[in-house]
Amino acid sequence: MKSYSGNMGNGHLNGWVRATFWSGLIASLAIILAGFVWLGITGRSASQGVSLGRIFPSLFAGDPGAMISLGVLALLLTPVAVVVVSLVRFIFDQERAWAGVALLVLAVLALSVVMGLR
Amino acid sequence: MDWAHIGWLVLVGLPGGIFGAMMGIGGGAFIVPLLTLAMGLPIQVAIASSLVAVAGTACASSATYVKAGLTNIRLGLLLETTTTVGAIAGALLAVLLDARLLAGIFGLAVIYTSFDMFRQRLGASGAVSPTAASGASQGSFGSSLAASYHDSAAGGIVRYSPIYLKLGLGAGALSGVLSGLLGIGGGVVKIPVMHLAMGVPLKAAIATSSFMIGITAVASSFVYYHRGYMDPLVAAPVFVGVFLGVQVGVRAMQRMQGHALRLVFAAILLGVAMLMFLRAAGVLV
Repeated sequence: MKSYSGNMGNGHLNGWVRATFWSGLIASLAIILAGFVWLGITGRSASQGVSLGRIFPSLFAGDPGAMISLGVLALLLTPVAVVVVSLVRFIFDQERAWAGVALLVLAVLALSVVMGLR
Repeated sequence: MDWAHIGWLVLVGLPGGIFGAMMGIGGGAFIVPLLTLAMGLPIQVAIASSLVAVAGTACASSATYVKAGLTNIRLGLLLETTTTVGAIAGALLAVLLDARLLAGIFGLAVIYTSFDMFRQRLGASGAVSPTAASGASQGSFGSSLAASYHDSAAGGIVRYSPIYLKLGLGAGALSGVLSGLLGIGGGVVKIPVMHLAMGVPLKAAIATSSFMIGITAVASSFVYYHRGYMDPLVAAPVFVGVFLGVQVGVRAMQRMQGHALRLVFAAILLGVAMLMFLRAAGVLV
């Protein structure tokens, strides 16, 4: 088992994690703002957002509220993506124990997502 | 589309982002009361929206902390194995509890946050606690949690190795329950436990807590989706407000004296707690 006396060994992991956080944050913000602009242009009224399972069908049907819901979903999936990239990095670095820890966290998150889709 | 309502929701997110960034918390302690007391939203909807905002705050701050090398990603992931389970349990409990009871529990949590701020002192940010140096061996797994970072305030490289992992896992579960139940980040539990008991320097504890908060918030958010309490048309503008607030808060914090800042915020949180107690007692609707 490797030990890290500094951050040198964590360079790749840190880089991947940081990039994932920023990408997810900017993407979700962009999608949400695009959704509000679309809502303003169409002049529709939307009293409530779209449920998880209806996001893509509603989006393809031309509902701006679905784009806003998609942006919120993108934000919530960003930390999930961080766990995924950590898992991939641990596998690359042959750190099986830590890959197992990341996989365990991912399993709990996956359970939560499946609950939300029901 | 009621754009005035959207605008008010963005304004609700602003103080959450500003104060959250300045105090190193998720901001839920401000967002939930504002959404329930000022906007009249049901508390479960407010909690769900706050979780989204907290996730946003966590992503924004984590990106910065990871770049600075402060975040112990391995420790964060390890503690998240129990925190995420706690978060789901907390969320399941929240949708079953009476709204006034939730408001009362929230008031208690905010009082604790306020007390925590009164007691915190700046200047202990880089010091490694003696227990970290003399802590019991954690074996090869525990040794892989050892980390270091450069701290200019401390004058060099700070090295540490977390101890009492089981305590950390237990505290993680508790913070997860609080996060899922109340829509807060849970850092008020995680940070003191990591710093005071596990031997993690304060800056690394705050950074690692920020990393964990986003994952924790996600775990409970989908329970609120399942129960129909997640309204993206409320959560999205609040998140936008929080994002803008974080940009202001990070810059403001650098210009203000930390000690006085914490006293002011602690007093504000006490006021918030009183309002939530009044709601719980049925005095405020």
